[in-house]
Amino acid sequence: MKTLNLAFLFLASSAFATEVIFEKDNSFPIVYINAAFTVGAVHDPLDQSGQAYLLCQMILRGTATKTKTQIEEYLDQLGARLDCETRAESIVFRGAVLTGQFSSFSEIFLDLLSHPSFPQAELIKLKSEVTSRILEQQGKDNSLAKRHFDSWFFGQHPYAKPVIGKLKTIPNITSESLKSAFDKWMHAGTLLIVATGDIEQSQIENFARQVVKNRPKKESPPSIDVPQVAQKQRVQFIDKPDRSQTQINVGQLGIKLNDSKYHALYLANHAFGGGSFSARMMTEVRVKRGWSYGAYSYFKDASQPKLWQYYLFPASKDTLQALKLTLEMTKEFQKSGITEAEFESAKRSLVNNAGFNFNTPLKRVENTLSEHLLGLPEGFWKDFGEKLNDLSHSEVNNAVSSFIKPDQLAISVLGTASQLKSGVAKTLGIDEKEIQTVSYSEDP
Amino acid sequence: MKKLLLSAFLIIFSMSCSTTADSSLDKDTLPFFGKYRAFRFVLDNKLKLIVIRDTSSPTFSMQTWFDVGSRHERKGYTGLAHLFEHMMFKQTKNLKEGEFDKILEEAGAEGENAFTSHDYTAYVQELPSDKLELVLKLESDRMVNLIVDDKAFKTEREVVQNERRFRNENSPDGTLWQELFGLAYTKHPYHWPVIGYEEDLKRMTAEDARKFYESYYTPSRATVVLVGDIDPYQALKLARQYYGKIGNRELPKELQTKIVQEPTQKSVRRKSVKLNIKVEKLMMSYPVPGIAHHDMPALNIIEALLSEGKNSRFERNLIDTGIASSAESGTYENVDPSVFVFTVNLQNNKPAKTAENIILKELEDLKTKPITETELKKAKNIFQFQFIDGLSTNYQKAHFIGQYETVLGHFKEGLRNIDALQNVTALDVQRVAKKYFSPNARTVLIGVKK
Repeated sequence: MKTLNLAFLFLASSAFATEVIFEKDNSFPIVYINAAFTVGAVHDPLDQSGQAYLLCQMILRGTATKTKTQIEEYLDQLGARLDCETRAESIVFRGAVLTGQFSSFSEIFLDLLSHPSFPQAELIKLKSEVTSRILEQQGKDNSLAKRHFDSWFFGQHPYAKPVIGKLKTIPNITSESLKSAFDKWMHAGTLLIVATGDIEQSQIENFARQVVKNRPKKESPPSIDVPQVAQKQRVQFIDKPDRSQTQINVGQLGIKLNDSKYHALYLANHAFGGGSFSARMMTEVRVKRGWSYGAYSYFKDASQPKLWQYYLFPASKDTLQALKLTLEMTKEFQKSGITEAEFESAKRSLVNNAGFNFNTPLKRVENTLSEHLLGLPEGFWKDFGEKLNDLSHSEVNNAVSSFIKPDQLAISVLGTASQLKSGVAKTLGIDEKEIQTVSYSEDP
Repeated sequence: MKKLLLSAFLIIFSMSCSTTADSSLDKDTLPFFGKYRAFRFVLDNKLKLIVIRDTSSPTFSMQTWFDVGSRHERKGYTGLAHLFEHMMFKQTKNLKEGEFDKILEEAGAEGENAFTSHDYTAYVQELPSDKLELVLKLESDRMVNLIVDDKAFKTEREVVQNERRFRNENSPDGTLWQELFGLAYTKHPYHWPVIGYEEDLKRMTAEDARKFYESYYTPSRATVVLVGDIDPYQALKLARQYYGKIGNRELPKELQTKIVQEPTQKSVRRKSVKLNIKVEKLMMSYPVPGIAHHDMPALNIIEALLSEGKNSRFERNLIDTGIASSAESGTYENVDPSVFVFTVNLQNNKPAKTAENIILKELEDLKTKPITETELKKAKNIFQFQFIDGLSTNYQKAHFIGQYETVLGHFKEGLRNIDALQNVTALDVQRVAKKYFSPNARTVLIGVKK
């Protein structure tokens, strides 16, 4: 891969300090600019889950001088895009505009980030839309299953909070609570500006300087504790009628990206279920048996250990066999790790592929953003391939052996209980009463 | 998406093979977009090779597009094009099952996958630029040396049946899409879902897949697109080496029949489907022409007016009014006469019928009141931005070229469509709205709570 040309700019004044990451790219007459804040759904008050999501959306719905319609019409006239993405631990505004329109675009972007008005009428409409989206998700088995799984797995920990919020907490969110969260958390101290495109660095700097001036630094949001989860097997059944297919999610507590074992576990996971067609899960579940279109394992990354999880969606008729097989595979994975051949293959694959982590300017600035948001050392993604290349087979298997906990898995099945629940209990060798059953229409 | 195999049928790739004197269709490069230019070559066996050089990173995207999709299937064999796509990842005369994937993965492949639509099937991957010869060798091998054995076919059929459960049976949106096309088309193959009907999948055999391969996977139906850090003349040399020897096969007589065209829709078709959902869903379609038609740019402008951008008419009249949580519109880009589709997710306790009435009113407004120049300019700006944004990666450029080469014969046609958008007038929009949005020509699907 070629040498990167990243310019890190630190705005001078300590009172207003924020960080700007920029890389020039004149392939196309377009500019991509993001404003990220290190506050997200995990910081929502318990009774106001969804606050960060609504905050993010409401910032786009009115300023002191412009209505939602005026803002949207202005952006459309420019042919620009400006969206807001809420994550567990961050809020990211993503803008894109043709170079010739950047100046006009930056004016409205600055106004939105500086003077949002949180109009009551817009909040009422937004809450109704969000409530309907949550209800709409109940029709989609994969997202429904994951929503239930996350909430059940993390219990009282902030990672349990769904980004979009809950049916019972959305009504509690008010214009005042959004204003207060904005004042408290969205300022120079939590802000990061990231940009690439056909534009001069000075124009991005100038934009950042103005945002910082309007949003001086305040206190940082509290850090998140390490989740404490049950150290025993748990089983959940999400009951939904008329299913010809189930959604199986199985997981345990994950690992931080900057943990010394992370690279070893990442490599091992790639061989076990990392999405490739040569991975064990795909080979055993799909290629050999045809039981599920997909069978994957992955880490969910966050500032604290989050999840190591696998996911498959077999036909109802194959569910019990598939569940049994994957649990046995997990035990074997913990006991014996991966073979020398799997290790060599996974390493070659990941090391040769690592360049795709940063082969475009957009990816490079996104990586730097991710390093900042997750508290990773600078160059974490750029060095990723090199770190994997340095691993030995025994390091990888030692990491797997100590990390994987086959007896502490959280096992969740979405399907039709009358067809499958007793079979799941039998397959797992437990009493049916030990399975926590929840109706699919019950919002977690 | 994905996978399969073939046997030693190919004794026949005889006739049109030539290893020498491939011709370059265009001696000079053709303009693509911005600073990019395209090298366009056609080998003697009619396989097209398009190369765009971009040395900004030592990687490239490779896509192989075949002019075959569910539109080429016959009744009783629905889903065969897609099922066959899965089989393409299986054994060849030179590689055991699993080796194709493994070799590419170890080479560092990114996004190795495939997809099938009504009109085409494509195989895609990205690789470090020193892996060009490797991937050309592997892709050309499976174009001619695939082995479809019975056991692998049966397993992969199971996988596809499961994919079908995932995308259609257990998905409210998937179910409604299948019903919509099933109702909007009565004769044309767009009537059936790309993934096929369960009963057809159950009945299909490895022999059907072998015949499909022999019939459609031939150089004259293929376009290879390379975008990235690639020397175009080196790519041509390697393409001649690996694909040049592959002969074309004639389409069997029984498959040479003309595709049945859809009769004009003269009355409203309507269906309500009970689903495990909490909010109602609406899908509605109108017949429109295929992608090559000169009215397509004006239809694209209508799409932008109604549902693109932040302040579209649907945003104002369906979402801001508390009726819908999302509303989209657009033309399905098909070779044969297509459909303009509206999809709406209603808000809680709001009936789909209300959304339908609002859409009907919006369409009547388009017919009776010319849109303003400001609205027109806005729609054009939105499209211009989407076009440029949509070509920013190697993958996206390769996709644009592959799609237009396959469905319209040349990528220039795609660029022409984009240029034509800038010439659409308010009167064009009004004329096209009157021509295609007759209330009697609509098909309405409503998803309601069970």
